[in-house]
Formats: sequence, C-alpha cells, structure tokens
Amino acid sequence: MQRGIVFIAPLGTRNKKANIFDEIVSLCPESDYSSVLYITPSAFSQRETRRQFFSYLKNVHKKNVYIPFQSFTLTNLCTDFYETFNPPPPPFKGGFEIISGRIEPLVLCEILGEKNIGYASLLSDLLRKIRHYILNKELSQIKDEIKSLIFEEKTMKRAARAIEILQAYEKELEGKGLITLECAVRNSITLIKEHIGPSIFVIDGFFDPTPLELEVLNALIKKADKAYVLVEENAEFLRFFESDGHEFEKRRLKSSHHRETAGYYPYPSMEEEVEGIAKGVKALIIEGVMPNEIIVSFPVLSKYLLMLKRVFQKYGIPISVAEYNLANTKPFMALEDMIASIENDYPRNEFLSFLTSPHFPETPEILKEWAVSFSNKAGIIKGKQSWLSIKERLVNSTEEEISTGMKEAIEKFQHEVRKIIGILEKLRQNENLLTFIDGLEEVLNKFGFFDSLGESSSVLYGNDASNKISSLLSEFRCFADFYNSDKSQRITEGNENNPSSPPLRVMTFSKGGRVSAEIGIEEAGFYLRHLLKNLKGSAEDMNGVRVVPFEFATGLESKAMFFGGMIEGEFPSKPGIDPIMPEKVKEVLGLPFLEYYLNRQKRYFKRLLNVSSDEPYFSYPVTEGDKMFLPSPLLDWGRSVSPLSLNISTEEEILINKGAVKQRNFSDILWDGELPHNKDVMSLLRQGPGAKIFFSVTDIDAYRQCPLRFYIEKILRLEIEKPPKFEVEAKLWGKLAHKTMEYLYKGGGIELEDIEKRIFEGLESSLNQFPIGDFWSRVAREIFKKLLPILKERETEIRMKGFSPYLVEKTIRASVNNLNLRGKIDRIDRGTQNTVILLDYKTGSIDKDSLQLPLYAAMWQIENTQSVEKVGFYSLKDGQVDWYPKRLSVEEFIRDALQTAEKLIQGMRKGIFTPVPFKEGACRYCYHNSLCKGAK
Amino acid sequence: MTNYLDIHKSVIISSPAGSGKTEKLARRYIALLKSGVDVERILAITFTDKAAAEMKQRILRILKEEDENLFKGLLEKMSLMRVSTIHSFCGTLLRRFSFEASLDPNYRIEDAIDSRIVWEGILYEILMDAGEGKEGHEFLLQSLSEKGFRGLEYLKTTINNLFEKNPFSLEAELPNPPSPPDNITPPSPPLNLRGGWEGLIEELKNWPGAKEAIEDYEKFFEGNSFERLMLLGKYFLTKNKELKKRPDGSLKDIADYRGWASKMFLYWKYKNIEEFTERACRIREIFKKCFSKYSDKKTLKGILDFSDLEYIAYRLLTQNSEWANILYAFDEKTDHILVDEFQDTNSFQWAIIDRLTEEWRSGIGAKREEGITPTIFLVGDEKQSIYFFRGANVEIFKRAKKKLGDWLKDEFCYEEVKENFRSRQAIINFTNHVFSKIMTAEGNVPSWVTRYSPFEACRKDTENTGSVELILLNDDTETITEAKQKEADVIAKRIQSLVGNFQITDRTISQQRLCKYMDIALLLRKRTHLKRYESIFREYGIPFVVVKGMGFYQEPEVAILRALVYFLSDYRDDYSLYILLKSPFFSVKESVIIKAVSCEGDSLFSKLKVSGQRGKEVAILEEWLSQIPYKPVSELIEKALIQTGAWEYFYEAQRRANIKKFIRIVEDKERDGKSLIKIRDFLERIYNKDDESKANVNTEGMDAVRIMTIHASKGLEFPLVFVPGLEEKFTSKPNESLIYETDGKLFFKYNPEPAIRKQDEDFLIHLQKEEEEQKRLFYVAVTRAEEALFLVGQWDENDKGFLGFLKRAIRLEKTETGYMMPISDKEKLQGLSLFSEQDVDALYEKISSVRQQRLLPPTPAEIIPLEIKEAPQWKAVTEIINIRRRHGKEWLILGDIVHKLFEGISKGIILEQDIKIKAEKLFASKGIAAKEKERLFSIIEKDISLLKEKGIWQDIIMPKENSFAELPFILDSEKSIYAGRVDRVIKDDDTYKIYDYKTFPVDKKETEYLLKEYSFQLGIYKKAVKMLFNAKDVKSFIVFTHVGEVREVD
Ligand code: SF4
Repeated sequence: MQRGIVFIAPLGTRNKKANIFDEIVSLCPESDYSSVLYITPSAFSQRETRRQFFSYLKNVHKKNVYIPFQSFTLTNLCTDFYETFNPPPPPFKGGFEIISGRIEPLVLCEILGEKNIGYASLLSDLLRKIRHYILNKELSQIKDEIKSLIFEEKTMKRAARAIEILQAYEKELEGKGLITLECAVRNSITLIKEHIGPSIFVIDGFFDPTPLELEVLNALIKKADKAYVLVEENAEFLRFFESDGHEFEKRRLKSSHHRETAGYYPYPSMEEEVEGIAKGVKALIIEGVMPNEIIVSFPVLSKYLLMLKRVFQKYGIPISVAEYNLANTKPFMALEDMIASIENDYPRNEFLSFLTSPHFPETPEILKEWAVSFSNKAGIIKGKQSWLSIKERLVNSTEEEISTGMKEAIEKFQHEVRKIIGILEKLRQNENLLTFIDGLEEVLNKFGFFDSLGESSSVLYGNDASNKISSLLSEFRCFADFYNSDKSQRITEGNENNPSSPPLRVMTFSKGGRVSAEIGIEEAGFYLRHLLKNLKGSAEDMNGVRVVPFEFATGLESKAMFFGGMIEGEFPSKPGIDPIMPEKVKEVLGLPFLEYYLNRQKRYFKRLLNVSSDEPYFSYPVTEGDKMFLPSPLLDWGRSVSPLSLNISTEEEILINKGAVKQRNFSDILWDGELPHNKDVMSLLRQGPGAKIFFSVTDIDAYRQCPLRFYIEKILRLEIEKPPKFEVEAKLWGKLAHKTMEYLYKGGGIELEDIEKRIFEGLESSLNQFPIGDFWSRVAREIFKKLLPILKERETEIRMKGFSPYLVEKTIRASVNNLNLRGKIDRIDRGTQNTVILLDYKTGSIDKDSLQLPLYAAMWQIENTQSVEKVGFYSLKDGQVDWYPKRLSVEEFIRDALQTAEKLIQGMRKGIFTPVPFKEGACRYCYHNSLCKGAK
Repeated sequence: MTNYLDIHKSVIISSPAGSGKTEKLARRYIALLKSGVDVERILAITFTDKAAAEMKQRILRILKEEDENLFKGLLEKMSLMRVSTIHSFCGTLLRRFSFEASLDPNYRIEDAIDSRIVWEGILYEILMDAGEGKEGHEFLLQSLSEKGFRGLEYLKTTINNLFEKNPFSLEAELPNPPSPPDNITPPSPPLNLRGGWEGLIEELKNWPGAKEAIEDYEKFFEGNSFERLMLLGKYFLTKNKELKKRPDGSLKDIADYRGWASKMFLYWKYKNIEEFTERACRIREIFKKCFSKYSDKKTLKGILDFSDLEYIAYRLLTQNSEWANILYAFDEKTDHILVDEFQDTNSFQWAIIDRLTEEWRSGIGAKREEGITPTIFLVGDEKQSIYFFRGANVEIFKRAKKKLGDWLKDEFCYEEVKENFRSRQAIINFTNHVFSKIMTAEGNVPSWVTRYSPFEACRKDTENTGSVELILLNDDTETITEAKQKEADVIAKRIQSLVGNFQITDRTISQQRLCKYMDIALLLRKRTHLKRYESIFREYGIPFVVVKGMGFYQEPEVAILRALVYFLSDYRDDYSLYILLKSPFFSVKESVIIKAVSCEGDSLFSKLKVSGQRGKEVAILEEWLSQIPYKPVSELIEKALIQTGAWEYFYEAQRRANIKKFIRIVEDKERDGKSLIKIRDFLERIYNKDDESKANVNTEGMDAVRIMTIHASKGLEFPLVFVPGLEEKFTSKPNESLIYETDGKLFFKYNPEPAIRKQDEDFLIHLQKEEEEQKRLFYVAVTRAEEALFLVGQWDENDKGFLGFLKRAIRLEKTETGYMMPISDKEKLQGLSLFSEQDVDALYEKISSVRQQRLLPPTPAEIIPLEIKEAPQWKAVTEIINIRRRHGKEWLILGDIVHKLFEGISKGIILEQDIKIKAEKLFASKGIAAKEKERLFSIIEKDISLLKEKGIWQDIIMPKENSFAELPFILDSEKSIYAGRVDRVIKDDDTYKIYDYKTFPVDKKETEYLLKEYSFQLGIYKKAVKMLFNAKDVKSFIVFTHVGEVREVD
C-alpha cells in the first residue's frame, strides 16, 4: 500500500508547498481539513504555512471559508501528547509539568547559588543540546566519558562539574514534579507510538532536524496512515525512506534554478547600504512586485532593524518584521525602568523614564508633565528622600517669588509623587517572590500598563505584547512557587556537605546569603530583567516587505531577496567561546561543535542563494565609524559590483539638492544680536532689567560678560535646563560661606582673638539656616578650621593697615553720573582717615574685570562722606585678597568703570545684544556656543 | 631566504616609516601558512580594528595573486583567522576563562559614556553614604576640606582623572617619601609621614634673630597645622615660590638671612611633600574604594568597560591562581604570535604577551617535543611611538628585544629595515639629517630616549628628487590669533600655487601628472587652530575635508538636533525650544519670540500658544510630541527634517553626514533600550566633550585637501605634506597628579605646588618623556610625505616646538637679511629651501588664481509615490482587554481554564471525575500558586453545579452527536481574514446552534449591554458556520457560565 509521498525538493524549487496542498485538498471532504496534522519546525513556518494555505485555497480553489488543518510545531505536538497521555507518577496527581525553558537559567542560578545568569544560560543550553543530540546516554555516562576525554584536570573538572549541576537540576525538577521540555519530547515518542490515532500527517520544513527531532519524526511517519513529507534534496532525513519507508512514493520536484555563488554590492556605510536596499526594493514595487514577495534579511537582523524601519519609512515601503526583540520596545523599557527605580533608590533617569512613560497611562498627569522640569530644578540625582522632599527643594532652589499657580502645581506634584513611591515601596516590602509578582502585576494593572499595550487583533500570530508579558509573569510565578516553599532542599547546600563535589565558587554577586524565603527586590529585578530580555515579538501582518532573520529566510520562497550586512565574521559567524566544554570533546560526544556551526551556516547560505527567483542581492558596508569590514568569505570575492544608481529619490534627497542649488546659507540662522525697534521689543526691554529705574550692578556685569547670553537669560528669561550634579553645589557653599562671614562682623568689629569663636558660631548659625546634613556640616567645619589661620592673618593685615570692620551685607542705591545703580556690598571696613575699603567675598573664581567693585565704590562715595581707599575680592577659597585698583588711582578706576557701565547700559536700552563676550574664555563653557556667531 | 621569513625564528623588526611594514607582516603570516601551520594556530595582534581588517585583506590579496589554492583554502577558514586588536583578543580570553575571572561568560562591553554614568553614580553614592553618616568616610571628610569650598569639585576632578587613567591608576603605588638630603646636620632620621626633623626644627626655632623678627615665630613649628606652616613661606619665598634674595622689613634682623631662608625652604618643601603624599594616599584610597564598588556593580550587571578587558586579562594571567591552566589552554591552541605597531604597546599589553609566550622562550616544552618551534614576531618602529599619553611605553621595544635575544639566542633575529619605498631623496636626506641630530640616544641614556638610524631611499621610479620647503614667517604679529591667521594665509597661497603646477608621480599608475588638491595633506599637531585653516581655505576656494575631525557635538547642526531631542523629552525646556524655533526647522524671527515671552504661561511653549502666533509651527510641534510613544526618536528626527524642509540647510556633505551620525547615535541608544530621558541624559553628558569625531565623509575620489592630526595620519602617505605650527610650544607645566612608570612599576604622585614639581625628578622625567614623544611625532609627520614636504611656522626666539628641533638640527639662524643655515648643512641637504612670506606671495602672484569650480548638483529626481494595494489583514475575533480591565487577570485565567475544561468534556477527552486533576494542571501551567488553586477551583466547581442545575451542562457542554467543540475556522471577508474558534456548535435538526462561553461574573443589568457588545463576534461565527456547513438556519447564543444563563444573540 502506498502510504504517502516524499517530495524531494532540490534548491531552487518554486512553489513547493502547493504539491502538498494539492494532496490535502484531494484527501479531505469539502472545506474541512481538520483531519490533517501539519507539522513544521517553528512557529514562524507554522504561520507561514497557514498563510500560504489560505492563499492557495483562495486562488486555486476559490474558497472563502474553511476549517483549517491542525497545525503544530513538532514540540507542540509532543508536549500535547505528553500532557494528554503521560500517566501521572505518584505522588503527583497531574503528571510532570513541563518547565519553561526561559526559567531554566533562573532555577540553575538558584542551584548554583550565584547570580551568574550567563553561566546558568550556558548550562541550560548545554542540557538542551545533550538532550537533543545524545539520545541514548544518561548524564552520568556523559560525565564519565568527559572524564576520560579531558586530560587537563581543571578543564575536566569544570566540564564534569557542569554535568553534575545538570544532574542536580534534573533531580531537583523531578522532586518538584517537573520535567524539561526535551525530556517531555523524548518521553512523548513512546506515547506517540502507543496513542497516535489514524491521521494524515504532513511534515514540512525540517532542514536540520536534531537526532531527537528525527526520532520523533520517524515515529510519526511509522505510525501515520498517510504521510506527506517535503524535504530538501540531500537531507539526512531522507535516509529513513531508504531503509524504513518503502511504502512511500518519492517524487523529485523540479528546480527552476540553481545558484552556487553570488557577487555582492559594497556600500560605504550601513546607512547607505540600507538606502541602497530601499531603492532596490522600491524599484521592484514600482514594477509591480507585491511587497510580500520581497525578502530583506541580514545575518544580524537586530543590528539593522531600527535603521531599516526608519529608512524604509522614508521611501514609503511597508514592512513586516517576522521577529524582533520585545525587550527593547518602549513598554518593556518602561517596565524595566520601573523596576530599576525601586532597586536603585529612584535614580533620576530611570524614575523619570517610568513616570513619563506613555505605557503607564494611569500615572497622574501632573507627574508626567512636571517630573522632568521639577526634578531638574530641585537637583535630584537619586534617592527616595530627595523625591519625597521635592517641594522643599524646589522652594529652596530659587530666591524669586513662586507664583500661586506654580505653588499649587508643586504641592500636587509632591502629593502624587509620594503616593507613587508609596505604591512602589510596597513592592519592595514583599516578603517573597510570589507576593512580589502578584504585587507587580497589580501595580502594572493599576498604572494601566496592560491597557497601554493594546491588543493584538491577529490570531494568526497570537503573540501580542500583552499575552507575552502575561505568560512571562506566569512563568515567573512558577519559578517563584518553586523556590518559595521548601528552601531547605536547595542543592547547593547538599553539595557543600558532599566532599566529592567541591562547592561551586561563589561570585560576588549578592552580598551575603539571603534569608530563607525572602527575596530582595534586587533579586526579583535581576531575574525579571533576564526574563524580559528573551521576549520575542513578531509582525502583526505579513503584507509588507518581509523582514526576516536569515534562518527564517531560508525556508521561504520569494521573487526577490536583499541580503545585507554580509561582513566577514558575521556570516559565517563563529559561535561564542564555550567556557564549559572544549570543542573537541563536544565533537566526540556528538554534540554540535564549532565546525558543525560553520558548516550549517554554509548550508544556510546555499539555501539563501536559491530563495528568490530573481538573482539575490547581497551587500555589505565597507566601513562603519572607525571600523572597516571585509565581505563574507562565502561570497565570490571576484564579483564585487558597484551599486546600481536607480532613479529613485526620497524627499530628503530632493530637499538636500534644492538646498545645494539655492546655496542655502546655514549661518543665516545664527543671530547677530541686533533687535529691531518696535513696540514689542521696547515693552520687553522695559520689563527686563534694562528698564528698572535702578540697574543692578550684577546685571551690568552679566551684560558685559556677554550681551547675548544676558539677553537669553535675563531678557527672554529662558530657562536653561541642565542636569543636576552632585549635591552641595557651589551655590549652596557660597551662601554658607557668605552667611558665616556676614555673621562674623554682624555686630561691627570684634577683637582678633574672638574671630575663631565667632566664625564657628556663624557657621553653626548658617548651617541651621541651610541644613546640609551632618557630614557636609562636618566638612564645612573642617574647611573653616583649615582656613582659619589664613583668615586670621588676613584680618590682622587689614587691621594693621588701620581698617576695621564696619558694615556687612549693605544694600545700596545711588545715582552716579545719571546712572541709577543698585547693589549689595558684602563688607565695608572703615579706616581712621575717613576712608573705607570695600570687600566682596568670593568662593569661586574671580573676574578681574568685573565692574562690581568700582561701581560700588562710586555709589558709596556719592551716598557717604567717606572716600574709598581700596576695594578687594576676598577669596574664601584660599583666604587671599585681590586688591584694586592696581595701577590706577581710585578716581581713575571709578571713572573708567562708570564709562564702561554707561556704554553698557546704553547698549542694553537700545536692545543691542551682540554676541561679543568680554573674554574669549567665556564661550568655552557657554551652552550657546555651537550656535553663536560670536563664539570663540 | 630573508631572515624575517624564517619561521623557525622569533623576530623583531624595526621597520621605519615607508618601509613596507604591513607587507612584511603579511608575508610572515603567509610564510607560516605555506609551511603548513594551521590558521587557527596563528595569533596576530594589530593596533586597531581597521588595521586587523586591512591585514587580512593584504594577506588574502597576496595569496590571490600568488597562490590561488592557498587563497581558497584560507577563505574557507577565514572565520577561524585570529587577527584582532589586543582588546578583542583579551575579550575572547576572558570569555574563555570567565570562570577563572569570575565573570559572566556573556558579559557585555559598556561604552565609555555608560561606564562613566555608572562610575559617577558610585561617586555620588559614596558621597551620599558619607552624607548619611555611614561609617568609614574619614578620608573623604579630610579630602573634601582640603581645597576649601572647592573641595568637592576638586576631588571629583582628581578622582575622575584617575578613573580615566585606569588601569594604570589602579596599579599605581605611592612612591616612598623622599628622605632628607645629607647636608642637614645632624643627620635626620628618614622622613616618614609624621616623624623626624627634630634637629632641623630645633636649629630653625633657635635661629638668632628669627623670633624677634617674626611674630609668633615658634608657633609655626608647633602642632600639625600645615596651613599655618605654609603661611610662613612669605618670609623667605617670593610670589613665585623662589627663595627671596634679600630680607625685607624686620627680617633684616635675622642672622645669616640666606642661610636661614634656605633651611626654612628645605623644611617647608619637605613638609609640603609629606603633606601631599598623605593627601595622595587619601585620594588613592577614595579612588580604590569607589573603584571596587564600581567593579561590584558591573559584575552584578554582567558588564565590563573597555579598559577592563586588558586589565582583567592581565590579572588573570599574572595573579590568578589558575594562571598556569590558562597558559596551558592558550598554549595548546597557539604556536605563533605576530604583533603589529609594537612600539605603541603598553606595559599591561606586553605583560600579557610576555606571559603567554613565557614557555616558548624557555626552549623546552610540549611543543618542541612535537617538533614545533613556537615563534613570536614583533614589528614596530620606536620612532613612531606616539601614544605615550595613552600609556604606550616605548621602552618595551628595547626590553623585548633584550629578553628575546637573551633567551632564544639563535632562534631569534632582530632586523632593522632601512629601505624607504615612500619618500623622495630630498625628504629622506632631510629626515636623516634632522633626526640623527635630535634623536641621539647614545651611551648610557635611559631607554625611553629615542635612537635614530638613517634610511635609504629606495624609490627610483623617476629622476625627480623631491623637495623640502621650510617656510618661515616673521615674528611681527601681536597675538597668536594673528599669527595663525597669517600662517593659514601663507599655506593657502602656497597650496594654490602648487595645484595644477607641481609635477608629481602618481604611484598607483606610475605616471607623472600635475598635483591636485587631493594630493595634499595638512597635518596638525593639535586641533586648536583647525577652524582658522578651515575658514581661510574657504576664503581661497580650496576644497578640503577634515579627516577624523573632532568636535562632533559642537557642530551647529548637531546642537540643533540636540535641542530637538531635549524639547521632545520636556516641552518645558525653553531654551531648546528657542533654538528649535530659530533653527532651519522653523526659521522663526526673533520678534515672534519676543512677542511670545511677554504672554501668560508657565513655559515658552505655552506662551507661544497663548500669543496666537505661528499656529502651524505649534501644531507641528504638538504633533511630534504626540508621536513620542509610538515612534523611535531617531525616526521622529528624520521626519522633522523632512516635514519642515530643514534638510535644505544641511546639504554640505559634512553637515549631512553629521546629521546622519547623530540620528544613528540616537538610534543605537534606542536599540539598546534607552528611553528618551536617558538619551537626553546621554547627550547632556557628552555635549561638552570635544573628542568625538565628526561623521566620516566618504572621501574616495574627492578632490580636496585632507586636513588631519599627525596622530590620525599614522600609517598613511600623501604626495605633498604640510606641517604647520612649527613654533607651537609643547612643553606644558606638569599636572598636579602624575602616574608614571619606573622600572616596570607604576607610581602615583600628587603635588599641587608648582614650585616643588619644578624640582621633582619624576615630574621632570615625565616632561622629558613628553618631549621625546614630540620628536617622534615630528618624525611621523615628516615621513608621511612622498614628493614634497612643507614645514611652516613663525620664527620664535624660544626653542620650544618643532622649530626648536629644527634649529638644533640645521643650525637655523635669523639674520638681517633673513633666515640662514650653515653652508655645510645646505650642501648636505640638497632639495631643502628656505622660504619667506614674500617668497610665497611671489609664487602666488605668478600663477593665475586657481578657481574652484562649483559643481552644480544634479537636478532632483521626482518622488514616485508607492501605491500599494491594501491586502486583507488577519484578525482575531475575540478580545480580552476588557475582561482584564473589568475583572482582573484572575478571571482571564479562569476563563481560559474553563474553556479548556469544557472543550475536553465536550470532546470526551476529559471525564467528569478528572476535572479537578486537569484543572490543577492548568492552574499550575498558569503559574497560580498552590494555595490559590483551591479557591479558584471552588469557583469552577460552583459554576459547574449551577450549570448542571439549569440543565445547561447536559444540553450544551456534555458530548453530543453532530456537534463540535472549539471549532476552528478561517473566514475571508474582503478586508479581513478572520481566524477564530467557536466554543461550541450543535446541530439541532436543520439548525446550527452556536454557543459562546463568557465566564466572568455578570451583573443582571449588564447582560443586555454585553449581548450587544458581542453581537459582532457572534455575527462572524454565524457567517462562518453558515458558509462552512451550507446551513440554512444558524442561531447564536452566549452562555454566561458564572450565572448559568443562556441568551440568544441576534
Ligand atoms: S558663545 Fe560666547 S558670545 Fe556666544 S552667547 Fe556664549 S558667551 Fe556669548
């Protein structure tokens, strides 16, 4: 009896699946194909097949409705069998549960007793490979073999240890009524043999089945009523039909082409490469090719994906991405930021990212709106306490009056931020991982996270973000449940008692052990991050140009294929170095090893060559940044072709061309600082410092330093947002030092001996006024202690010159030469000769050209009878006084300053804000320098 | 056979500029291959990734021409080739030995900025901990108060500097404090941190006249107040901290003032050193503490930073207890090591290579028993070592030579190549003459002093002998700006007079032709005056391109895009909005902004809205803001550039490339999962850093002068080379802190007192080393030239700068009539000519001015819009979002489980008695905790008994003939393809009854509403069932399982 057909497809065969579909349709009545079990290796090929079957029915048989065949991936089929038919072993009523591969590394971490997720993942991977490739040996046998294969002791021990851990792992699973997926698959083979009913099987797309998969497939074929198999020519799988499958007809399909090698297009950079691909794709679509008949792929798709999306969008080309990493999509980033906020004590960036994320739509609007700006102003770097005291910080951050509206906003903000932190803190306080996960889900729900993900309307793909995250949380729960109850059975502890297996080295991940069932937020975050990292998403529709990982591409048929990024080292790529087991040992054991991977990629390449009916278009970027690449050695190095110049442009290119024709001058936008004379300008100037009756001397000085910067900051009053730096900033120190010095002579002159006492009193009083915490207060005290000898010396010097302190913090207003000026003098010392000296305390650097002191002197002399003998900057950095005037007389000094001031004020009034800094150095740290005509 | 190709020997080749170094390396590699060595067993280390690629390319190119078979074989095995930088080699080593290094084997390399963020976070945390009064911060307290109110800023800078210098700073020890000189009587005990000195102090205390002359004199020697002691300085030191020659005022009374002063100075100086050694100690402690916290954090995250690679590999090989195994494992895989640019190796790198090849040198070992002679092949040129500032140690070259010679004897050979295949005779003569005069390491000099050995000119392709022009400008300018302006002007003139006139030999085609702009390179020592050259070149119409130009983030187009990102991240960022409005995005006039600022509002944006101006722009901005959730920022930027037409302003190749680069940077951050806030933070951190290179512009075939730094020119060659700024001084003042290497050990020294640094040997040696490096830099610059070399500078009496070297070498003098050099030198230096400004002017006048022709861009093509037929979408029929929102996730899970159970029952797969077991399994797979299972199951149980009570169980759920459970279907309905599953279909006579289960709790009041809501879903089902079965009559029902109700849906 003929039990089915094996379709043997050489590379380059077109429309392969139709052969199978024909058979299905001929076997099934009407529109019900549910008796067919269609088995494919991956979810992707499953979707692909369903899609193609739909088109086939629609186009060939004109059907609009049908009951689809049952489609399975091989794994799904096995697990289904396993779950349905495996008798529950005692004492577990429900039979062994299959543990999700994703939480495997987590469990292994627990067994290892260290948070080395990389190592745990390698172990999990190793186990999977062992189970797929070594069918007839137990772990203990493998261990023995390893011992005999590796001579170098450490290496041997390390590899053997890895197997021991895997043994421990499997044992632990067993103890919990769990089983790995691979074991379930293996067990399902017997179940299939026993339980499989009469069915029609289709087996399609298995290019490189592992021995385990082969075994399952063979079992299926043996038991099938009818089976249709589509395989590649030369596939190992065919051997089965040589020996066992005599009842099968072998039908060799005809290939329409066969390519052995390909040339390539080098591009100067990645971006130009993608542009080139886009142009090529667009040209095809214009010719009438449907987008989904075009495949675009890369050896490392993730490297190109965002760029590809961006560039294709520019060309108006729709794309369907077969698979991408969900972890780096916005909602998942936001989720990670939320966790990191709690973990790391609300660091600015993470917490802000969380607060402002659109994926937490229920976060109060006031937080979303103001978080960035408020936290900037309040100088928050991190720390729950900082956020909880943001109101105070905001009030302290300015000397200006805060408007009522703003006050309300601050108040409300503070209230809401407190609430949010409260909610998040509750998460931290969860006593175990399970309650943490529940709490997390609740919080996510509360902030509308799930709602924000929207819902996939497609069942074909059924893997929308929301589902993904739900199942991820379920898996996480499984893990938590696993480790929640009986901690005492942790295997590490067993190991420590077992002299034959030395304890694993404990890495410095977590400080100390953790208390039994309690899982810290760090730990939860650590695991959660790992789980998130491995989430994959896929396209909702498949009508656009098909952007697929290269493994997927090999299973497709298309009109055209663009394959970029063909650089040496990436295709073929060398798998990561295996720190557990030497390649040679893997080879002997029958595990895939280096050469296997390299050969597999060569096979992939051969398939890629024949995926499209048109000649495939391979390309690579010659350079990227400072890097230079060579083309993949798989390509024909003799056939480097210069990229076609296609007459396809984007709006961007057209604009650039236009600009070049018009010679658009970029510097036109740089402003020369000359304001027009109109009423808006005048009214603005009148509101600004320029129009006050009394000019502030500090303003004049600021204008002198740079008129443009003055304009931006003081006239337009634009806030320059800068990220906050460390606490106890220059400004605060300045205030503190000033206040302390003010206190020193508040009540007039004092005896030299009293200086010490008084300074420290002053300091304490200032510290009361501006609390900076214990530590910083101590620093301040220490600073003054160190400064004291020098200060004393300075004070002595001043007194020796016949001056003694007279006034401090003196506000002054005066009209000098028709200029109305105002300001505040830090300190005035009076001499015996009806003279004074004026001092200005500085904690930062001193501007020798400042007009401040001469103008103060001028004002003082107008308002008082004493003449000014000298003025000086009194540095509280090193206790030195920089005296002025240096060469001129006081009169000349004042006169020059007044002249300058007059000019400056005139300029200000006229609205001249030319970017001419007083000193070139000013531009170096000016935020405006990139865009300033005057920048030096 | 040439010696270096003898694969049984280890080789060091000193291969000077232009001697075909890469070719030699490639030949050696090939020689190894030809002798049958497997590619995997050869490790080649290059200086950059680019060099690695070039080297592979070179090897393959030679093979392709000479040995097709070997070429093919190598291509097959290319992915096994081990040609990489030392960093990536270390990276592989670390992965391989991740166990031993206690690393996550999947570690990720964090980029410099991100590591810096982590680092600064640590510093902050430590300060905060201190602030919160946590223990162990005494050092911090001390350090913070040492610089007055600048303490924090200062400490941060110092610590950050150490961080930048890691791993050198990590390994650096404090040097022993100096012991007092012998001439102090009585001999004092060695100075340690707070001891000794009594003798001297006594003497000074009792110095005749001192007490009388200085108030409170004795107090200065009391206690520990360093600050007080420093005050004493004014009595014997000038402002510049030099010894005062004459006493003033009352000091005249001090007996033997000079004697007193010099002893005081001694005391002052040593106290100073003592204090600063202590401070250095504290700084180092703080640094180490931060660093260890930093390392912990990285371990936890599974990340490393770039400098870790080398350092951890170094520690792994030298300090890890497993080092022997590691060496063994390495040895097993490697037989030959080749290292390129060996002169730029640093001590860590050498230690790694040294360690790896230790056994090879011993002349014994397993390999030799197998008949393999492992070799090491080092190529470099001491004279081109120009990375001292990055830690390269030129002494290693000599050290390696000695070591290999000592150990390997005949199995080692050292070759010094003399051939120069690059430059013309005149240039070679000049180079030989100048550098043999200034690189004169003879006799007993330290090994960091560079030695010169002359070239032989090997280019004999034409009669042309080339030329060297020394263009010296008069020192008659007032400011540096003016001087540089003049210099740029002269260079521009000289270039214009050369282009189209000067004959060169094109080496690619071996033909004479006239020189083009693209043949010329301008090599700068520093980028300080780059802008000036650019603007003058523009003025003269000289096309140019800056290769690896720095200051990317300072470019205006980048600043504008940055403003865009800032604004998107916070629309309250007024300044950024201001920039954005004024920029080519919107080209808004100042008056619009002025009008807006006086309006009401809490941000410029809201004020603008209130002002009612520029509605269109406001709308665009709002549109962008609204798209943030859905679009990557990189895409938004690109969109903005197109939408507003801003691209028109950025047509210049460099600007365009910069914009693309910016977009790419943002895109890469997004790919790494960084939020907009974090991207903003990144940009804020980096905008001040001027060492980010501008975007690469594809210069291939571009007829433009290449401008670059000498460092960037290394390895390149150009027909004509200009080296300006000969007079620019390079000896700077030594920094306050210094990390230096003596005898292979690293030290850290710190002293903020310039007067003391000026006398300190280590600080001084460091300066001398820097000067040596400048010689080498000069050498690199000069040897880039093939046909002609132009050295330009302003005469300066000072002997600093390249000019100083020249003066020394060719005895250049300024005389009344101009600049002169001795006749004898002139004869030796055929082809060298001295030029003045006037000479250049004359040359410039002579030629008709070369006009730059502006190429008009091609006419823009049309945009062809794509008309793509809308294809039907696959859609699901059910939705869950409302259930989650209304009833929570528990009901979602319950629903799922109930559906599964009912399906099983209907299909007869689940028997009634197995429901509980099945349910438990399902709960477990959903991650429901054990204790919850009971509660949830009781809900199901209750529901079932209610259904039974109402007969629904028997009528609908239980197995039936002519029925389906979970019937799948595909329905094509024009715009959509529906894929769904019908919970239950029962054929009753001619009527098909469709049942859909809703399992969540329903309020009586809700039912009507729900029936309406689900009518679409059931409508689809109806249609599908009708078509599938050709049914005449189809009815649809909803079963509310929780309340036991069945309702028909119309
Ligand atoms: S860059 Fe210079 S000129 Fe321009 S605003 Fe800033 S300080 Fe003024």
